[in-house]
Amino acid sequence: MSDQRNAGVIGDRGSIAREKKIWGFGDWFPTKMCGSINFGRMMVISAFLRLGLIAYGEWQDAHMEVRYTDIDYFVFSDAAALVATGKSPFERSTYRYSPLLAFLLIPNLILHQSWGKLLFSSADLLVGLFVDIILKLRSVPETLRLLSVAVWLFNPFTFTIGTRGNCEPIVCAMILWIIICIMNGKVIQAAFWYGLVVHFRIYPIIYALPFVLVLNNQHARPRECILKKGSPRSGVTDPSSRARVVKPSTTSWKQLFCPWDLLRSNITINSFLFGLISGSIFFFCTALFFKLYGWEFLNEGLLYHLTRTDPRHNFSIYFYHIYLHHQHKFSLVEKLISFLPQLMVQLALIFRFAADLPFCLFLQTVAFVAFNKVITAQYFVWFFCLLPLILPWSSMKLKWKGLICISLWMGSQLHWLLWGYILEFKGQNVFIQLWLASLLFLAANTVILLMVIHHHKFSRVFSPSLSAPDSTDTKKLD
Amino acid sequence: MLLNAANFSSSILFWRSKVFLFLLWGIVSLKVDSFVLQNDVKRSHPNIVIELPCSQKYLTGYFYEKHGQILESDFHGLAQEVGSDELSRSLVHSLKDVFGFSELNRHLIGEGSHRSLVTNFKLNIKPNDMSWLNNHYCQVVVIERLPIGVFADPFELQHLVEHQVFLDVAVIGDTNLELPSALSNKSVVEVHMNTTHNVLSRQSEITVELPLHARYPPLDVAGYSKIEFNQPDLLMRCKSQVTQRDFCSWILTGWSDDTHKNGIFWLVPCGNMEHTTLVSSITFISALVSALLIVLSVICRSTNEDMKNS
Repeated sequence: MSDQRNAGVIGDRGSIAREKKIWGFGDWFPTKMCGSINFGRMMVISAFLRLGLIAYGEWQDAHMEVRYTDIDYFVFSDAAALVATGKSPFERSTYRYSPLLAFLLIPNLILHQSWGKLLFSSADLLVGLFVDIILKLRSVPETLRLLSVAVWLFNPFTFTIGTRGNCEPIVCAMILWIIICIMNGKVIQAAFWYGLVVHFRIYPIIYALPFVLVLNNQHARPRECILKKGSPRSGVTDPSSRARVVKPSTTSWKQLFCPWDLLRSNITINSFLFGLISGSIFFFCTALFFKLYGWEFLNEGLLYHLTRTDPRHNFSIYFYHIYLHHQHKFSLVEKLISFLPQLMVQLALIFRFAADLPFCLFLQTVAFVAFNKVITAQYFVWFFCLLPLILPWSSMKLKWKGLICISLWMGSQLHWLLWGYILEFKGQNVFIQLWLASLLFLAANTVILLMVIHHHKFSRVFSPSLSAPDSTDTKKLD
Repeated sequence: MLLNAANFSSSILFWRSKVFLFLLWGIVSLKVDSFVLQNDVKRSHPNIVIELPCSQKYLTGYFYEKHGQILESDFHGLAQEVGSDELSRSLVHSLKDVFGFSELNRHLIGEGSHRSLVTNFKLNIKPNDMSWLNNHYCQVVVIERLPIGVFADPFELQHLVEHQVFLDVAVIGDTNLELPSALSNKSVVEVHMNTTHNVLSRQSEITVELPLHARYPPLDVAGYSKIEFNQPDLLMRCKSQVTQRDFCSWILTGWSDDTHKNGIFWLVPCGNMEHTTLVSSITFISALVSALLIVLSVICRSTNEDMKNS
């Protein structure tokens, strides 16, 4: 495989220089990595780091005023205690998750109270493993792969979130596993996990359409999928293949403007199976827990997330608008208007980028979080786990565009946090300034989205097979 | 016994401008101005003792269970409701004026939306009755009626109990941490503290530091919403260590005087309704502009790729 990968490079001297210019992520660090760093060692170091943090967290909880552990972790533990005695986990106020989580945390009471944190940190490490698997499937060279995995494993936001007892790493692991299953053609397994993850957390529902489109556009049965070796060292830069690459844009735009074609072409056996199985799993879980816990489950675990309008300050631009209106109900027009930008962006991203699945999911998640009515810091993990999957295809160099993006995002966040601190801990009326800071955060997110889109080398996950009716490509890009 | 206490209190209260009813559960109210227990002449705060089974840990909880609402100052009414028997009546008589509270000081510490309400007072124990004290185990009970604009986090208070800052705590009423004031209800906090009983001093100083959080207040043009605190109710809860009776006496020796507000204010920043139109329109416009920018960039990129590949 490595010979094949390098074949295109060695034969075409001219393209090596061009390739180096096109993708910039590899330029972030010297390509001569020390031989001692490999994936296994990175995982071991990450594991020790997380174990150390969990132990430190226990110490800080016991000895200091401010706790290391997230307040949500205590909510989960209390709910697990309730469930262990046969009661409903929703008796614990502010428990707004699936009862599955409470069941998962029952060993908190039997084994040790840090069982949940260990579970979440293991999911965290699993995400690193899955990132590696996905990048291997897409034939990314080892150095790039290790760097991408390191972006997840050694991201301070990431390792604190699992060790503090937040359950998001589990969701991230499930989503990455679904991507792996789809790439390997295991549609049924992907559908099962997808139904489960939507039950667990509602937001992955935004991935439904891209999954269906990807499953459909491969036009092949499971196990016959041809994985496009969309590595940065081949593809568009190879002049011989350029003419034969299917223009993804025209196909997508045809589909966008001809809804009947879209519907017709989308109902293939794969997408049908996917929809059916994931829908059934979701409804089964909902029905089961409704039977067990009644309306409390539906209200707290499901409907709360759909109708959540929290007037308290958060990163979202809508918070002040919601606070100013909290004493009277929102009109239907207002609700629709706030939904419109979200819908526009999601649809545009899906129809343009669905074929490059991880990229599409990443953009969708960033946009979803940025335009949402409520934004809390834990939502950022949702796209952090997808970031390593797109980095190898980004031509953005660390100097200076990469750094600009990072500092823009973090800077606007810190700016917001500053005003939030003044409001909450100093008690000054800075609502307008805080609201402007949230607008700035949205602007920063938009700029970053635009830059990432601009610098990404679009590469489909699957190349259309020979049997595709409207495909013009006949080359297996190996 | 309760009837006697009621008659006694009613005769005293008759010539007082304000009548506050005491809760027999041992919530002792403290007057704002200094109170000297030894001054028997003008006793204006009769003791009321309520006997309840010791299984009833919280007076406010008991009231809430029976009536479904927050306990107000109607202790007298509650006393009558609980009823009395011979033993109780004699007990009340013996417990008359055993305890007193003085030098109540209250202030808020901290800044912003999370502050602590500190209540300082002195517990005075009448010397004649030290023997009684030896036979009983007593705790101080402070009942804090919180205005709508603030709330106490039950889990945080539980944490304090685990760290033995308080002996016990109960929060009754609206404990929703997330809703703004306009959609919230009142709540009451009952805190049990240990006295320095073993030392048996005539006067011991008690400090209760209650962490509170401000809710999002209703909108106001002024930009700040003022939250005022009432006086707490202070009682003693005593259990006899000599007799076999499983009854705890709740002793009220003073009353909460609403006229003597010691002026604790908490200013919470609030939204200004005059901003509404501007904020809403700019919010929606920004969201729309950002969305359009992204959609346009997606379209442009497709067009560019079309041109590149054609």
